[in-house]
Amino acid sequence: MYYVETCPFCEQGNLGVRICSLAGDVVILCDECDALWLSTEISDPPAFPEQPDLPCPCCQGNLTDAPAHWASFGEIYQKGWVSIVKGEMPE
Amino acid sequence: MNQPNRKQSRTKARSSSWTIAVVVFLGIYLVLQWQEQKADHQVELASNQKSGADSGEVTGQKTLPPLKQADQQSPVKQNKIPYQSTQSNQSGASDSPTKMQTVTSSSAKTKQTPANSNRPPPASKSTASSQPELGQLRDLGGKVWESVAGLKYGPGSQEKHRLLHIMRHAEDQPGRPGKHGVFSGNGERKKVLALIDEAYLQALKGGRNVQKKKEGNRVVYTVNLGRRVGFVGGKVGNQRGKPAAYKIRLVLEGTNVITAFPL
Repeated sequence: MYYVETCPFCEQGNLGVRICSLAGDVVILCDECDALWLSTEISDPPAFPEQPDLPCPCCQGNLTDAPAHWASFGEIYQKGWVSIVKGEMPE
Repeated sequence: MNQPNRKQSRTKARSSSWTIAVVVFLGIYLVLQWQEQKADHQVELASNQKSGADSGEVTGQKTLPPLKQADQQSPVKQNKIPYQSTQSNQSGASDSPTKMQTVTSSSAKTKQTPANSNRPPPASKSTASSQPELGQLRDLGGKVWESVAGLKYGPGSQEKHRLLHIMRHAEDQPGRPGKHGVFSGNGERKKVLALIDEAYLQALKGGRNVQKKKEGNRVVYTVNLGRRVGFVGGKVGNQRGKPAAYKIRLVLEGTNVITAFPL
């Protein structure tokens, strides 16, 4: 998982780039508290998708079940968010 | 000549029969006297034996008299008679009257009857078992578990269940970027959940040791428990020598746990 930064909401989790299960929508998601951002403006207040399925805010898909996944470097590049990536987390 | 002889033999027979009658009478008299004396000492025992036999018909046992007597001595305990009697019978005490007499003759022994010793365990013991400890869970169904403090752990997170997610904080992840709070308790789930329960109860009480942040349907409590509750691990924590953690942060939606960790 490529992480963006520490979650400003829970101050512990790492924000990663997540691809939804249906339309391939890209969001930023905290791996600790599931706080969600639709853009790279992390200073904006997060959204909190409904538990436990985490439905995608952009389509009918979700952020939990496969084929939802953490974005690869290529997917992040395609989205144009490479500049915000700070590193890759060990599996 | 024959008549005097007959008279003499008749008189002899009468006197011997009288002698026998007197001896028999004396014998009976002595036996009665002896029995009277004995009866004086055994009046109480005799009555107890009778009542014991009566109770024995009900319970099918024969060792109740001592308990009966004890109960008569202390009317306050009369309500417990049936229970005590049954218990004493189940203890399998001797059927012999001699043994009963031994028990009856000592009031101290009567008080320490098997009935008393077989009473249910002290109230404190049963109370302790009836009051669950912090950290225990009960199944609410639908893969949702509720802690003693009222926190709910259900499906969710990358680990598919919040309990699994929480238990990520039971051990260090030295390679994880940033901080990674690790709970005390040597990775034991019950101890971890007990700390979270304690923090939650403290959070509900409020006070100077509790910070609360609300955003949307989320509430974040940061509770200082005033003692070491774990350490700060992860890359940052390991760089700083794993400093002790005294606070627990709870991220909740209502009573549903999203995450919890020390910091």
